[in-house]
Amino acid sequence: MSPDAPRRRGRVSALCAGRRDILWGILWVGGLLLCRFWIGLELNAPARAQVVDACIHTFWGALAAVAMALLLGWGTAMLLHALESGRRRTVRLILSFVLNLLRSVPQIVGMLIGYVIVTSLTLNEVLASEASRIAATSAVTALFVFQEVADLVTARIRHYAATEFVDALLVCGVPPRVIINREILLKNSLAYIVQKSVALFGRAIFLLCSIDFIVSVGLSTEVSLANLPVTLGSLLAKMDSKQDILAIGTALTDARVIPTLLFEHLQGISVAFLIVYTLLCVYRIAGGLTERYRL
Amino acid sequence: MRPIAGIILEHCSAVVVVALALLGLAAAIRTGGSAAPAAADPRIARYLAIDSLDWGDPLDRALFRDALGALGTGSRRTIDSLVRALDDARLSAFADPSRKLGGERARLDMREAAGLLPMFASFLLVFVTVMALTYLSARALALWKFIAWKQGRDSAFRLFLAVLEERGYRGIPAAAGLLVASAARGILALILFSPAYVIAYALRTSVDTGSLLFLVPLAVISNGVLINQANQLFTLLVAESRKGYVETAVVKGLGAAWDWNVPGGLRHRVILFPSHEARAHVFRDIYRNARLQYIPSLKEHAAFVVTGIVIIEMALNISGHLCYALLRHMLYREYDIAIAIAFAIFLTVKVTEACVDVWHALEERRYANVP
Repeated sequence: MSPDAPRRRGRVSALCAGRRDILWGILWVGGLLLCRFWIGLELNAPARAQVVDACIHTFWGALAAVAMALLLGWGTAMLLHALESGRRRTVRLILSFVLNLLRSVPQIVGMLIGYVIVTSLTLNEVLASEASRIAATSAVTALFVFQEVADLVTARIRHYAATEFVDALLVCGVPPRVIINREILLKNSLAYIVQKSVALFGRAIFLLCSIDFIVSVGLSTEVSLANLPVTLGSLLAKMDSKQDILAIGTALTDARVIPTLLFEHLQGISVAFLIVYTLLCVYRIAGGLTERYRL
Repeated sequence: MRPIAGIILEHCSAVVVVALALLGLAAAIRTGGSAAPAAADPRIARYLAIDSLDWGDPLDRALFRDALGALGTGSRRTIDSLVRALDDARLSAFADPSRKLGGERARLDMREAAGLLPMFASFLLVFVTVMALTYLSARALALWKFIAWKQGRDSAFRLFLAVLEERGYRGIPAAAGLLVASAARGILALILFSPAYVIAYALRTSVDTGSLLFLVPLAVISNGVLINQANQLFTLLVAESRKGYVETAVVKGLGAAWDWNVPGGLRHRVILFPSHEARAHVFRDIYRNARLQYIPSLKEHAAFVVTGIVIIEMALNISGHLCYALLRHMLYREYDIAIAIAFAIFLTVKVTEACVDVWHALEERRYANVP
């Protein structure tokens, strides 16, 4: 039987097969709520508040990074297209060269440099509020992931430019700006953009958590953790959480530790679970979207 | 089709531009750093000069805050900032290496560069090994998944659900094995998506997390590197398999049976040697065409693999490794050395990108219809 051919399934397994993105979205939200319920029962109030704050800060930071990456990527693609249409080849080449350079910088190294700048801005009280610090770290993240959006928008424009679709609309008197933004991107590429946004959300969470972990472990002498908003990465780097994670290793050799993991070591375990489970679910949602819309 | 000389020129020019920019930055930092130490902020020095105040005594600190508040010197926030600045000034007097005899900041000289070389060699060794292992593992994983998809196999969880829907709760004992398999796959997926530091800290009590033997497998399986790479190839394989030429090839007589070890089907060896196996099977053409599109994405993966290695070395504080040294030099504000290390990492990625581009160009030449 061909894998593309429809199969007879029950309702639940049909949902699993056809709309994996929705299923994993439900599983993700369900998992987060379950975790919230469990830490509400078993974790002490200050630690619980920290985990909740860390979760909110991380997700808001990642969402802000995605929004900025979409804006930056769209702007860059528009600029490249305008330069190409205006036959400014040299300027376009220079811009492409700079973008390729940025692409070659490993994201984590670039973000580390960005964090040094954010740290100095925090110390100089330029970034006074918590929201501004989250926005600054999100901007740093967006700077190293926006090219994927630029590539996607450019590819979609090129795909339609090669067909008669664009010519037909031009003949109808539709301005090029409207053709690109409304007809190509909004009406015919929305699924691609949503899928890319979901994938970038996962990437942003991974990078934000990793950089916060590294900074908290290795570079935290300048800025105390109280100055930077607590995130899942920085919370995991705290001694309490690290000891909780170490308990997993102990549980591998001593089975008596296993029952204590979800009670005595809940802070670190819940933070690690939130990071890993979110990354898994977001990846599955993005994969489900690719499958459903055949992207 | 891009000429190979053009590819090399493009990458070399990028390296030169970045090298010049970083050299300029390092020179600027050196000039700034070699200047005489900045005089203490007179506002801070004024308060530190009060002999009767013991800054380590909480009572004195509280009195100082109250006094400033009573004098209307500023808001509570301003006073907090001032106290923090005072603490920083006191701390730097004790901890700043530049204020200690023999504790001056290191500079990038021949001795320091020679010390970095073995670390860079070790980094290269890890990077090349991880890239090769990731490529082979991701390819095998993607091919396995693709062939299973072509065979129409459902996941264990979907099969479990199907049994439940068909037989109700009475089917649970019979389908328990499927549930266990599904749970095992779930745990494996969680491991593959775990950031490296989560796995490493979980195993730190039982494994030496500082050794290369641990670092390399960890870099392959963690951070989602393997699964993302495999998924990229799988997506390309699926897209290729839906193209018209596949059906044409089948009509012309190429094998199209996807079951294992049947006449006209596939052997398990195809997972490891896809280019050499299945010569009379349509799989081979699907794979070759998918691979041609997959090669450029290795550039992106190179940067991601480097990111993974950097995260592991920095998060685990593995001393004697390049990325840990980068973190340490940033911490001690020895920025010229940090810049040199960052450039070495950039160079690694750039050389990999050049190799991937050349490989892709050569592959394109092989299949191009040149008149």
